[in-house]
Amino acid sequence: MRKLKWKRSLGALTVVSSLFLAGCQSTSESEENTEDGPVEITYSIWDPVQLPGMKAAAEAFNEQEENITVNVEVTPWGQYWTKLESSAKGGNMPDIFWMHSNEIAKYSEGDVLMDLSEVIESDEEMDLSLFPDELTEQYTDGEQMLGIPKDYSTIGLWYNKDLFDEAGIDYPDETWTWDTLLENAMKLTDEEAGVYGFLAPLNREEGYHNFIYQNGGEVLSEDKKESGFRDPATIEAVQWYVDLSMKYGVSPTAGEFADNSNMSYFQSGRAAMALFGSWMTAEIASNEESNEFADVAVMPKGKNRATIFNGLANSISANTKHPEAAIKFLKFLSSEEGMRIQGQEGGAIPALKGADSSFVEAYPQFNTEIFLEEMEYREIKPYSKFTTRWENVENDTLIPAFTGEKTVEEVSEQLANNVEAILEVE
Amino acid sequence: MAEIKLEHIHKRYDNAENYAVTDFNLDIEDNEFIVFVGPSGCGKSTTLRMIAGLEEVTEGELYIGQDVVNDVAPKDRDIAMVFQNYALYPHMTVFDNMAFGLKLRKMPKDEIKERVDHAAEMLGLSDLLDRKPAALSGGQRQRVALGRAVVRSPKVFLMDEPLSNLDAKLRVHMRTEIAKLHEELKTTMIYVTHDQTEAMTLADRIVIMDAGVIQQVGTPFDVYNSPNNAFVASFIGSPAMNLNEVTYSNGRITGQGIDLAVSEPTKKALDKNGYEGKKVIFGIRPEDIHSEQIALEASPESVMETNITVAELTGAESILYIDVGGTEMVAVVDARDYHQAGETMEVAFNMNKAHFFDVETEEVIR
Amino acid sequence: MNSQSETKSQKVSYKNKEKRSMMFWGWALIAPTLIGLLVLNIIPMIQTLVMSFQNVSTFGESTWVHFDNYIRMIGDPKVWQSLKNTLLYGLVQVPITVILSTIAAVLVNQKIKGVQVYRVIYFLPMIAAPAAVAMVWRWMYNSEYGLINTFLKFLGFSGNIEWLYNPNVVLWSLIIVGIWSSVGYNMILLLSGLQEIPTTYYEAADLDGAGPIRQFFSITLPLLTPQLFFVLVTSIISAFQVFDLIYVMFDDTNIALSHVESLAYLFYDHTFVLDDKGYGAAIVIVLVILIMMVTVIQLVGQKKWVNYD
Repeated sequence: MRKLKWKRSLGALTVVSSLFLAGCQSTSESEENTEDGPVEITYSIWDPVQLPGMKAAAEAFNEQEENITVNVEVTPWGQYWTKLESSAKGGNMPDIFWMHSNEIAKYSEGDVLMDLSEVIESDEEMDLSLFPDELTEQYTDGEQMLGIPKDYSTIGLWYNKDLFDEAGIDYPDETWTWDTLLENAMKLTDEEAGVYGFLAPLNREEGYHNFIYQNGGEVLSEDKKESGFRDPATIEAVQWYVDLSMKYGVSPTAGEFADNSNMSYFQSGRAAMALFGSWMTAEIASNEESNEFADVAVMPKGKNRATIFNGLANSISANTKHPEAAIKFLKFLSSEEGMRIQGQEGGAIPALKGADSSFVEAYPQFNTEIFLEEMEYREIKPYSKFTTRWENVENDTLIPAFTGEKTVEEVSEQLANNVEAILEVE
Repeated sequence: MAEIKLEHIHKRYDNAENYAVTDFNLDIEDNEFIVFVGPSGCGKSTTLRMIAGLEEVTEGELYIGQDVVNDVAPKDRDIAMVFQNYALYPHMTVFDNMAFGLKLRKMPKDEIKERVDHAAEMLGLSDLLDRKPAALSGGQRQRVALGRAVVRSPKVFLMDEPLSNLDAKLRVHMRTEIAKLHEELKTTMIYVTHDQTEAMTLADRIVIMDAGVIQQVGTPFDVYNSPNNAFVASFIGSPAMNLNEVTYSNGRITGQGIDLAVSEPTKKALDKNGYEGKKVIFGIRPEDIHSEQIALEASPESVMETNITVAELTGAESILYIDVGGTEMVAVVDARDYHQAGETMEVAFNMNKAHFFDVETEEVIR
Repeated sequence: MNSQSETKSQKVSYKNKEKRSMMFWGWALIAPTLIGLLVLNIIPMIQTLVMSFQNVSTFGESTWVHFDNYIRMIGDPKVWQSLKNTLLYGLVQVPITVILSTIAAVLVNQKIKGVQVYRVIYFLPMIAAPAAVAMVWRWMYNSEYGLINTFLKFLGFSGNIEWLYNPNVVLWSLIIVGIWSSVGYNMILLLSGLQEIPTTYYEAADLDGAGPIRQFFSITLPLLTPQLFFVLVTSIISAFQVFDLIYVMFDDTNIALSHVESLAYLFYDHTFVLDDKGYGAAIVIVLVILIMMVTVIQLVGQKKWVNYD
């Protein structure tokens, strides 16, 4: 009899513990938030390069608000959205986190983001006009504001000073046009040494989208119902870009980029010029060699000047258990002080006008002020509800053009149709 | 002319200290049916495999015919072997199984067919030629294994415990089949078994082995009636011979409850070899312990009173486990003599059939 | 008399208690596995099947579209290409793997010095995580700096093979890695099968006069068929699901990706990248049906060639 009882309690223990382990996820405090006692909130980001900056902001915040500790979590881009999505469904999203234009539509539909419009209105210090309005627009859904812009990025023409010196060519500047670019790229290309004049991978934001707008074309129509690939200006621009690798040989081919990324070509000194976004500055600075030989200039002029620009936002979970703490932190992040701290670490350009100069100050060795200058002729990175889907389609359909099998014109019709088919569904 | 000769054959495995087979000497005549018998591990299979060429001979010479074949490959020795687990090629039909070796020797097709058909007929397999081994019973598979050996028309048949995997009844039946086969083919057969009944029934001569050494070679009659040592005496015959240590003195043996007079020839042998007053091993077979009235009357000095502890009726006989003054013995009597456990019974020992062995060497005293 | 009936009913109720206790224990002890199976396997499978008939909206209500996803698959060239890639991968990688595994198993079944070392070496690829394996191979496949092209150049072969972006080569690059990583495991399985073959078969063949090659085809292979069957079935099931090798060796910007992406990869793409979960679910359901069909065919066919004792 005693034996049986002992067995029973052991069995009960097994069942209970297995259920416990199965159902147990991250044990977050389930205590009622008193806001008086110490509070811990999670700030979720995806870029490890910006981690120092975010941590610095969190610490500075903690000095002001001793009760609130901010845990900064990094989840690499590849897993960030899957994790966020499942946490949203599970009802335990991080309190405050980065939001991206590719995903904002989905999350706003899901009603999982806190409406920040009241927060902003009630705060006298916050002035939305100090943020680029395309960004605030991006993260607004009707009446609701679902994210406060955190940073912006533009694209720069990076170049290898040593290669230019060797060839005796002047560094790129604002006088450069497409022709100048091509001309000098050809001079700088040395097949034997394996050096390329200008890197032109199959890349949108850091690639041909810039040239499309510089040529007066567009990727999507204003109303986002049509594809810009019916526009001859678009086609011409993309073809010119393709020709850089296929016709003029100043760039590795799209296939070759599969083996070595454009960054590795540049950092190993095999490229005289390349387009990189402002967010890659930290990467270029971190490499000893490129930190020495690299510098950046504005992109060349086509029919006009244009740069693709985009920005992230900070959003708060609609179901956060610590709304007050999260809002306080958000306000701090969006303030001049918070913005400056982020900029100082050089991870990204703070979205707040005035504070963005801290990014420039972080890199005395480069001409990073061009990133701010380029904001004059910025074009928001093309987006819609199903951005990733039509970007995928655009990529796939352009592959034959980038391998030289077809011309851009030949694939443009199909591209436009496929993209519009997706836009229709939205 | 001896067909097979084993001269001073020794076998030692690479990592072993001891020999598996020690000084094995045997001349096998043409058409003889030789059986190697002994307990597990006695070296009988090893010796067979050496003859086959599946094991290397460590020392000594092996002759098949006039030639020394120690280094000849198995396939060139003109022998055929039947294995305990048949080793039939599972994906081939019975016909193909039997024809396999012939095909490899590049025999013409019609000759192969002739041989296979003939062997199949001999073994009753003619209807099964198209079947695969999986569709055959144990006995049928064994016959196919035999057939595979038969078609080769070898000089020697080697059989390694071929009947061990069959049930008792089938074993008895197959025993006669093999005997018949030997009659028909008139070829030398070397047969290995641990079952002494098979040895006794099939062999022209038996080779009894223990721990790698030949204990005795002889006809079934010889090894049964004239065992050379205690091992042979107890190994051959079922139920086994009763062996007990007794002291001999002046024509009588005593000890452990036994008190019997020995026969005249025995007395002469024991005295001659100086066993007066010494201990000897007394051996008597169960069937030489009688319970019929006639026997009791015929030899009164060899009668003792016993208690029956267990009585096993096998049909024709009764196997009685008797307590002879404290020593347990086994007696086999006619079933008509009805006895039950717990009874007291008088038995007469046929001392003319008794065997005596030296206590230390265990060899027979003659 | 009363006490008698009392004891009887006591006995009866004890028996019921005992039965109940046994039932309780039975369920309690399988509960962990059962719960895991339900939560992690069975329920998600059913959910996937349901999703394949829907247009899945992440945070809101999904709408029923019945067979639309499946019909869309019929007209989707990417699906057909992935199907072709998957089939080609499976039907090339598996036979070659099985053949090499068999040879390796036979080689490693000998009593030669240091055979244990060889066994470990052949098995080592299994220990490494697929992602790590893929990363190293990716490096080796680099057309400019990779070990493979460098070695080929050393042998005098001119020209760089574009292992990871030539549309005609990429599937083969994948197949090679697939073979390399699975030979070890299958070799061990087949080795155990080899060791079960009684030596008497080989001895009988020796006596019949068969040489080693003949013995391999007449004895080893036929008696190895049960293990070969198992290896074939499991290898095909696993090969048709190839994903992680592709994911690590080929970026989503790789121009030759369409020549190597499998159905499993396409499922991942639609479900997690393009956020089209209903369509992704339909793709994976088709993959499951494909695998089931092939497995059934194999199971039915085993009677023809597998020799069981």
